[in-house]
Amino acid sequence: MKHLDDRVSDLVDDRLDHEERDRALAHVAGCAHCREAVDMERYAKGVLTSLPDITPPAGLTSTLIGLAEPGGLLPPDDHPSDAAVEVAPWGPSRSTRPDHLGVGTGRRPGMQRSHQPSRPKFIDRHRRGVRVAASGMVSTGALLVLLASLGAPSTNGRDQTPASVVPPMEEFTMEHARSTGGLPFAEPASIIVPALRSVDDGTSGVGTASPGAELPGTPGLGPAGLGWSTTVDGTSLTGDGP
Amino acid sequence: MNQLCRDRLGDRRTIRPRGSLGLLAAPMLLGALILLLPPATAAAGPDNLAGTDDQRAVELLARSAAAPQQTSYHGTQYVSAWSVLAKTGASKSAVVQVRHQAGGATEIGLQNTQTSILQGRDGTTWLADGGGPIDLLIDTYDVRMAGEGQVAGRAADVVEAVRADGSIAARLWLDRQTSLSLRREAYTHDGHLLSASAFVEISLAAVPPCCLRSGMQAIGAPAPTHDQAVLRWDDIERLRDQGYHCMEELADGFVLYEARQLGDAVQLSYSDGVMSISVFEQPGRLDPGHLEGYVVSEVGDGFVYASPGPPARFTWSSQGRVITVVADAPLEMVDGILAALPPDGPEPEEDNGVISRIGRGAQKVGTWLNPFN
Repeated sequence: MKHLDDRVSDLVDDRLDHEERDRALAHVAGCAHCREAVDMERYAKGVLTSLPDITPPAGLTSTLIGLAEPGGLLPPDDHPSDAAVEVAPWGPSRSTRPDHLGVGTGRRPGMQRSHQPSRPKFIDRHRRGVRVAASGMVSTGALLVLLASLGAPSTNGRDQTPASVVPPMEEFTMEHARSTGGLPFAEPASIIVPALRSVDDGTSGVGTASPGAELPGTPGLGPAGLGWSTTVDGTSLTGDGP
Repeated sequence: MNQLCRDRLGDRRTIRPRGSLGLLAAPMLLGALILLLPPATAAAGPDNLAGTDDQRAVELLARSAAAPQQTSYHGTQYVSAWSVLAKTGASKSAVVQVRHQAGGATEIGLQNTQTSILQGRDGTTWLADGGGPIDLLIDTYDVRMAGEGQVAGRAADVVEAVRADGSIAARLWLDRQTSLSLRREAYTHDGHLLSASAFVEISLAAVPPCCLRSGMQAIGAPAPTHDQAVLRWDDIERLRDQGYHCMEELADGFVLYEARQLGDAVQLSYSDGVMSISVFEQPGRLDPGHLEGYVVSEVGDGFVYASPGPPARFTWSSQGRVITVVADAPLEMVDGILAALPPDGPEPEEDNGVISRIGRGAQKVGTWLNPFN
């Protein structure tokens, strides 16, 4: 059996049930460490109970009560001694109901629990801890898997990578010319673009461009006939006429 | 796009082609036209007219905006435009045949070959406040008379649109008889030409329908059928709910005047009455692998791909959308768009480790549980 540890107080205060008390006493008989702990606990308890009663000043009591309850005085506690006896439950099999503690009955709580079934509480606690840890790990793993699947490269339409686009520059330039062609004071480039575009289409049959005369990015300027020119850096490039 | 970025875009040239010296006739013609009047500079526009409009100039512009409804004409026009990336020096020029039937569309041809038809604006697609483009111009700029001139042998009144800082934004030559716009120049803040056009010759005689290659509608013809792609404000609100940005206005008085749906792309057209910008929004992320010849500039955490044009084109990824800008306006406007829709940083490589997956999953659950999400 392991040392009594925190059950030393229960033994001294006689809060253990019958079987537990027998086992604890048998352990104390053979364990010097626990015997010393029990002796110290009994000695301390005896010293405390042997102290004379001290009557606190009435003003102190009312002041403390007032501090605890600003809205008004607390109702008087009918069973202060019983409340002081209450200890926190420590095993899964231990009930916390007040009647098990003997509150209000005038009897000692240990007498109420003397016939409860005994379970190895440390095993219960261990199993419970394992279950909690296991369920936590499973939950966390499931959550991570879910998040990873949500964060996978998506193949649906909404999250697809934007399509690569090559703007139809010549078409856009024509549309620009068409749009500005109706403005009465618009720039004459709107006239140039469709004129040269037609030549580029080969519909006019008015000549072809000299090699190298095309300005990059303006392929519409390539073929040319009499009446057009392209100038870069002041150097005029003019197509051969018919 | 900050100044550093602008410098980079301006300095980096992906190609430096050389041309034949014998083929400079067209630019020289343009130069001769431009020299008819002294060049406009930022200093040419005193600020003492800021906040005031010359009423005669306003009336002339209003008549000019309405002139194509009443006047048929055909002629030869020289057109030139410079890139908003001024340091690239890139430009385009063309001599085009223009035929316009009063109240109808305008046919643009190149060497007697029909190439394109520009429909007049019928007002059904207009989103901006006010009556139309003329209001945009007058709201944004101070307009004033700036003398007289001759274009294609016709007398013209010159009207200037002046910015608040006194710089000239545009100069227009309006036919004294019909108020048609015969010549036009647009400038950047620092006085560089952005675009210029002028009639070399023009005839006000109506073009017989038999001579129109396009068979475009004549006066009295039924109006064009409703364009299903045109978006109204309630459509724009719906698109915003779907994640499109659809900005209502840009800086410096550029307001949204037209929006169209082009497949999964949305085109948003902005103008101040003189210059214009189109912003295209597409869902997705930019694949720069197919943008050959584009100049790459680092802006913030991301990258912007630019082509000088003109019109200059910019594209980048921002907040789940691919933004493409086609600009015939000063580069400051593109800066404003970049500030509102900053380029995304590089796409982080997805970590498929267990810890990362758990973290992403927890984040996802957090978003589900967040009542404010």
